[in-house]
Amino acid sequence: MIPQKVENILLKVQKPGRYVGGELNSVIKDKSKIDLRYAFCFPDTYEIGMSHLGMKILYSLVNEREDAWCERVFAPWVDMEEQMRENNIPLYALESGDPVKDFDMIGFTLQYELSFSNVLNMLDLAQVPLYSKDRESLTPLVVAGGPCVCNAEPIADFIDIIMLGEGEETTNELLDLLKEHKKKGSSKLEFLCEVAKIDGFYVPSLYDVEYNEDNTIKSVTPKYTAPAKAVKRVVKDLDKAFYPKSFIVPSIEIVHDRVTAEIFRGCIRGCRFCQAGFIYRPIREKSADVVESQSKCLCETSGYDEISLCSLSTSDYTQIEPLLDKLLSWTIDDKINVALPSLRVDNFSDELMQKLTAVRRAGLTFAPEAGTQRLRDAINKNVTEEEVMTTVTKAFSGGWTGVKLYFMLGLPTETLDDVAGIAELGQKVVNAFYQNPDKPKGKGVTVNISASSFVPKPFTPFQWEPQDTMEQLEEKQKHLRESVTTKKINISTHLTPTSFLEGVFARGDRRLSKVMELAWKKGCRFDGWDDQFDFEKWTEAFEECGIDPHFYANRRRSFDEILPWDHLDYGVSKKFLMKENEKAHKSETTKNCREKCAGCGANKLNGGECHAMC
Amino acid sequence: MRCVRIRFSKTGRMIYISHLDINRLMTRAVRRAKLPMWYTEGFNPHPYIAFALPLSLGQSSECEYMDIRIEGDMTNEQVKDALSAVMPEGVGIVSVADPVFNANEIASAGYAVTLEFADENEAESFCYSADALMSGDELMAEKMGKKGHRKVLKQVNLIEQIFGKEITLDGSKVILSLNLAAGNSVNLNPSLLIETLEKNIQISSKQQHIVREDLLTASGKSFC
Repeated sequence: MIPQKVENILLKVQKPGRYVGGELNSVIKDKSKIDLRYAFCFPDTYEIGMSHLGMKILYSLVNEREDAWCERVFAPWVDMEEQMRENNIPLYALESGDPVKDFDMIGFTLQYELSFSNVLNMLDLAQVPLYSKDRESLTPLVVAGGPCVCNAEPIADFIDIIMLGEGEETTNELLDLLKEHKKKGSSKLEFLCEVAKIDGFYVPSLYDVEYNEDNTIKSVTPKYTAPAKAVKRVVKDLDKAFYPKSFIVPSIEIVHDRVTAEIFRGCIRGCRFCQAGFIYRPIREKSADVVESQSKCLCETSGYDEISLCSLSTSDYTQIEPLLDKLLSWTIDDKINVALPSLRVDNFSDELMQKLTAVRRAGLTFAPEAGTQRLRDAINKNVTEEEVMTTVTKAFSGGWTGVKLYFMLGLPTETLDDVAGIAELGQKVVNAFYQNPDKPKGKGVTVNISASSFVPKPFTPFQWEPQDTMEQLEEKQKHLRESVTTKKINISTHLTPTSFLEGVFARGDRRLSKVMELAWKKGCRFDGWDDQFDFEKWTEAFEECGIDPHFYANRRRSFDEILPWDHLDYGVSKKFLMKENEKAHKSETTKNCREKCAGCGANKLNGGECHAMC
Repeated sequence: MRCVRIRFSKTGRMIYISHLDINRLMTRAVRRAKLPMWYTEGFNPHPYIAFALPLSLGQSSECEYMDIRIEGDMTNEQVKDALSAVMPEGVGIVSVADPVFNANEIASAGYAVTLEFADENEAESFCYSADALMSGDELMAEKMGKKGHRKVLKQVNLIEQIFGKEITLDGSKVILSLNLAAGNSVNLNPSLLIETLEKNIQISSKQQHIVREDLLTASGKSFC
């Protein structure tokens, strides 16, 4: 239950439903019978965090255990934070209303770099010391996982244990070990040394980092039991992996208010800019029967009227058509909509399109990513202009009057001609609509072009590349807008300082922790929210710490430089990434994993198995 | 196809959920209950669900009404059991019956309001002054109203919208039993009345608890 102190302030804040818990299918346990209390924290608002599939999986997984109780914690919005601080209310978990500082384990999922400042703010609101070294007792243990921990160095000083890769197995292993050591009365160091021996865990405090005069890394040295390289963990068989039988159904509207059905992990495409495409390897598919029965169960326990298939590239799922047939056999009668995000233009079939419109017509979004074939080849987005045109024509014939196209600005080797190519491609799509005899009668077309800014990320072939400066990106945004000559095309772009900061933290090292602490002290939080982001405060923080952010964002690294994340092993080999980088500069493509295995090395994590090869 | 009127309560943590969210919550609840819903026959078929009178966020209620249309021969009792089994904490199914009145026949609503003050003295002077103010001829408040499509601030005399009042003092608490104009044309939110009283008396309560207890028709009958 929520504490009375909280009740007293709830009507003073926006959307109080974020802070009360009590939702359908949330789990309440008798704390006197619990050995381990785990506060699962999402460092953003309730509406965003509750949309996250990973949290739903791990929440249910831990709560299946009789000895543990997993509760949820989200970042309070600024108005709530003000009230909490004014009334001395520590950060609490939604299920019990108990202070987070009393939990055994506090876990953060790091989905994007710009949520890092919220991690600090939440620790502070919880009245837990920020730095790992200042938390001397074994509990509360502060752990973190999620895609951003593939380079956890910027926040390494604040976190005790980093969980690399998928959490279905490692979460339970960690809880088991913690229970044992809590009982034994082990010291924190004893415990950390045990954890570091297990694959899937990285204990930052067990590595010493030394720097060269030019600020690059000289060496990373493991201590005690820590291995030279901490290895990512994956779940071998998705059919057997844990999946929730029910989702918490929020009482207030959240971003993804629907059933999410995961269909596979990894991606066969190898687009060189895409971090997810590399760090989630190897490919593992879930069988259509399992996806269908899980979806049905979730629909029944939640009452949702929409199922969204979840993967990095829906149409690359080998069983997509059988799955849709199975699903549509009951979803149509039950008036349940099936949404297929992440479709590709090169394998979007007529059958698929017809099935898509079976219940309700959703928007269509395609991602050519770059405006010219040369640049698409350089980034290995193996999509041709012809394929884009065939697909949009199909969509227009099928009754759609608008498409959304995703592009990126600032890709390596990009020129202003490539930028203008985005507008040209948009124009060709507009023309394709008007030239289409089957187009919807009496309607105009809208082409929404979203041009985000490219941020080079670790474990991609572009991890050595300089990010375009803010000035370069702004020039390209301007050039793109000027290249558009029709009102049928809408352009949206990202704020360049936001992308710059993301770039700094994506490839940052441990020296950034003091910058982060200072910026947070100056009031930075919710950096991913344009209305909260304060670049001036960040600039001040960098200056006062004597750290040049451009060193991290805009500098080209050489292949032999020690990168801050080199002591982590995500399966994909550095040699493979180098080869891909060289090919990018020659605008040479690499075939997708199903056509020809490129030898990335990630299958070693799964006993040599990768579903792209079978 | 027939129409069924469901009376439900909204209490505890559920009072922080807005009217729009209750609508969504109920749409999912009827699905979980597997009620044989009648669907609209338009381009985008959806179940027919209508609410009698929206409740402000932060207020509890014993008398929320929702009309749904169902097919088949499920009895009201079966509907009640099916729905009760799937409701989240804070929403209770009070009764399920065939509708008698039309929602636009709602004329007033009964509220029980508890105000907590810093001490007994404050409560006492508030109680005395509030009684006097509500017994007078005029208690003006600013209210957002519509002029065509535009939203404009207008002055309203709240006295005309107070149909019944009882006020009692209980230590540092003041308890009001109110019957206020309710419905689509004239509606007085008890929060506005309390806010206006507090502004006039210049004493503010620390906590308020508002419960809507009943909806009434013009002839004073309980809405059902």
